[in-house]
Amino acid sequence: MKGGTKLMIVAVIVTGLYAWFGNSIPQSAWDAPKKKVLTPDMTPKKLAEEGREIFRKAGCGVCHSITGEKLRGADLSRVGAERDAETMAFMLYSGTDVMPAANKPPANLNDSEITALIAYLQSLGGKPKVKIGDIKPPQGMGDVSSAQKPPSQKEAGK
Amino acid sequence: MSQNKKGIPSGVSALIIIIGSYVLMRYIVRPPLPSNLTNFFMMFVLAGVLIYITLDDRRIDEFIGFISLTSKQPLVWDILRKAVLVIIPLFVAYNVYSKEKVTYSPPGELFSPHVTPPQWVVDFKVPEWAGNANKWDPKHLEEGRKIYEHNCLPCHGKDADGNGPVANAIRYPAAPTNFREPGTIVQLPIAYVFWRVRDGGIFDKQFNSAMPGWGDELEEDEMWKVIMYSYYKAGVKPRTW
Amino acid sequence: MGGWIKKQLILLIGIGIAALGIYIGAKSGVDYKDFQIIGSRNLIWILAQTMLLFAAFILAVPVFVLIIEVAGYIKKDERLDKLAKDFARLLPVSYSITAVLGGLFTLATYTLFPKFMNYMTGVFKPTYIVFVVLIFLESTAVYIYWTTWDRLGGQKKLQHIVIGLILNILGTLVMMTANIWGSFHLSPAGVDAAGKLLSLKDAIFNFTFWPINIHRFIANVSFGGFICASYAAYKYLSAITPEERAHYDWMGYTGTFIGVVTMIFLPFAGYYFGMEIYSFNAQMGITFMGGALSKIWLLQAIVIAVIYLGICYYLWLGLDRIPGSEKYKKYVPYLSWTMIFAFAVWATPRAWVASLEDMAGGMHPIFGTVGIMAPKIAAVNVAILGVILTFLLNRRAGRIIPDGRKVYVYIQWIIILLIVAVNLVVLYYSYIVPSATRIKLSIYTFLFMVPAIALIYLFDGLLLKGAQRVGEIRWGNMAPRSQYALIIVAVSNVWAMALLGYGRAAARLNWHIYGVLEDTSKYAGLPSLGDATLVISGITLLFLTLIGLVFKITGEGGREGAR
Repeated sequence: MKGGTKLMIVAVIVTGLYAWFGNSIPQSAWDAPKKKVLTPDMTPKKLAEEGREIFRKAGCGVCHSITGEKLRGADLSRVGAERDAETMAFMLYSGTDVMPAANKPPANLNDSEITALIAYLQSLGGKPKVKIGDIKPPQGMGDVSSAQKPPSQKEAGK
Repeated sequence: MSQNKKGIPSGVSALIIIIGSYVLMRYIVRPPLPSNLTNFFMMFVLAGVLIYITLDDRRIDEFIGFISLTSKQPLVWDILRKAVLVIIPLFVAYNVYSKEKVTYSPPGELFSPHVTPPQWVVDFKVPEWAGNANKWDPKHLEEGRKIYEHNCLPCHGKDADGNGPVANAIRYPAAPTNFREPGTIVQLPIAYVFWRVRDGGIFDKQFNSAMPGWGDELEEDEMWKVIMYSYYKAGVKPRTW
Repeated sequence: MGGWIKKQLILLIGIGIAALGIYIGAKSGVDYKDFQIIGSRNLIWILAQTMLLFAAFILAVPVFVLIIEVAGYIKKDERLDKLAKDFARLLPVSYSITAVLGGLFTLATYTLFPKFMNYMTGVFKPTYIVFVVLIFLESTAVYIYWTTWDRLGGQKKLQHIVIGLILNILGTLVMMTANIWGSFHLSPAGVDAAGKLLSLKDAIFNFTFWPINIHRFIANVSFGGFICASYAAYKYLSAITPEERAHYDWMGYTGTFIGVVTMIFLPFAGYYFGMEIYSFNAQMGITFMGGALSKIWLLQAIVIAVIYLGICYYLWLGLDRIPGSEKYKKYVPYLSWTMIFAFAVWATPRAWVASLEDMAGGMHPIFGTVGIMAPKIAAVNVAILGVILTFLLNRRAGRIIPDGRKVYVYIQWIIILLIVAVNLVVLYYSYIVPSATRIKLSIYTFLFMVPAIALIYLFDGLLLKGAQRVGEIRWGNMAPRSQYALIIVAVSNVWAMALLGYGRAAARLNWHIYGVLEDTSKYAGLPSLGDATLVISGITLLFLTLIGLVFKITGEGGREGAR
């Protein structure tokens, strides 16, 4: 039995040393990327500001310019005046041959984020008008079917 | 080899190795190794000494005799071992002191030199004229040089060595990147470099660099040109995934 | 037959608990539940890792036992057969513990993470059934293997070895089935972006399936060897008679031998795994190697250094018990310092920012020159070579090399120098060629090293075939510190497995199933490395306590049987 105790002491010392070393180097936890909380009481203007951030982060600017310049995708500098919210929503949810849908990877936005994005797009050459809840995903394209939720948990129609 | 009575006692050679490697790392190698890296390497040195001494029963006895002052030693070694007995507590005391001392410098920090890029960077299609070093147009490089010298040179330096006029002002926590170093742009995919130029350094805890994002200042073409120029100036070629 | 039913009972209980978990999960209706005090993530972490360590053990022991049994059969060595039987004795109890742990793990995951686990059920239901059938077959095979040990001795030994082989095949299949799920979390395939299953076959044979199989298999065998060696060390330290000491000394040496020979191939399996991760998703590769998880490699380097140096230390001290080893022993300090240097290079962090006083920031040339991959690969290769040289020393010490065989020694030296030269040349070129070429170069280096190592062993066999010894090896004459080295190696081995298990799971970041099913619970992020090491140390101690219990139970049972 005495041998067993000795063994355990060695084990505690060795694992303790590793844990000490692990704690001695500077620490940083990795936090999951925060999803912005977007609530229905946010004004369209506020929503548009969040949308600008989403536009940047989601990588829209890789193809779309907002300055009138022609990149790979359409120029969006006046999109707010040219398209209504429903058209934008349809484009974003369904994507095209060359543009991945916004609710699927790589952008992988949820319904509220897409609404905010639309508010931002409306602000380009126009005034943001939509609020959270105004934009309904086209039939069967909402974020319930996206990567966020497994198929068994569909809450379609909500 | 240590049974030779005339040789240096193993206790002394252990001391020489330990102190010698510390001095080597801190005072002889230029620039000196950072203190925490030195401590890290000292763990290996201590382990090596421990292994060396305990490999042989005779050496252990000799060593214990040496440090416990029970063995008879020539005068020089005797003075040395007694001195060490004084130095060790002093050394510990100094360490405690410097740990407790209030300093104004920020603590050391781990950083990830290569932060995980977002997915779009991985999937990014690099323009042919920028991604392939053999197709670089001298005209583009010339334009890149202008942009570089306007925007990047203050930190990253005239020779792309991270040693520009203001580099020392922002050396913490990460100094401006030296593009000539083998661990930097040469081993990164060019799309990754593009991402860092576009979005800059400060976005989350992973990487606190002072690099600004240039996405709002420069056009995409301009960013590609300046990246091409950085590679060109550093004398290295980009890679793709 | 009654014994068989009794043995299956605990397995049935385990499956019952698991089935209950699956039922609760299906009925749950919420996404997440929390567990009091330690949190649901930590609970799952501890259960999963402890279970995996046990699973590794019950996979490793049969492989290990079979190797020794076959060796005993070929060499007609009763001692080896006895050793194999001693270890086979551990199997039934370990199986029971694994079954219970597996049941608890399933119960906990399905209760606390119902959304995630129900999705897994939806995709992998057929494999669940296969898994249950396989473990029933496997535990039956264990039962037959263990109870027929004496009955199928002597002339019928070959039949017994065949049963052992079947047991091992079943065990490997069980591991592979479980690996389907783990590798799918990491690199899902066969599902669309919404997570709908398109092809079960693709989902099973995903990117990291084979790398995990290979890596785990090799690691498990090595792990079994070290656990055996540490058990022998423990017995050696508490042995009273010289005969006992001699037996356990020899047993520790045998275990270490199997552990090291397999461990030498682990880095190669690891690189293969890493390559597949990169080709699945470069983003995940960067997270793993250079991003959020890069500090794991700092720790891993330290732990692996302890393991390698500990083994070599044991073998170096072991030279003392071989008469005629004096002329080789004087080379040992050079070898030890070379290996220390190699490990220092390997462990040099790339991502360690100095404090402000040091001026250098992240820019110290040593980080840039030594901290990158190329010198590290060269350093690991040198360290592996150090282990091999240590082994050669151990084999050659005290042997009289017959005349006319000197040429084999020269050939070995040429191969060793060639390995060093190739590594140096590759290292030099790594700094001047583009990365793509560099990665290819390192692959060629491995492809060169594996056969070169095999050739060294081959020529060593030719060299020492039938060579006389100066004197018998004095088994049982080892300094106690060498046995502590073996124990430290085993503890570090468990710790390393737990650390890398964490690394593999953490590479998914905030995803349950990477890119398919996002973790939206409050545990979506990663803990800091310090917190992670505390949990890992706890898991290691828990596992060692449990395995100590297994040894205690079976050890006493064995003694009673002997009476």
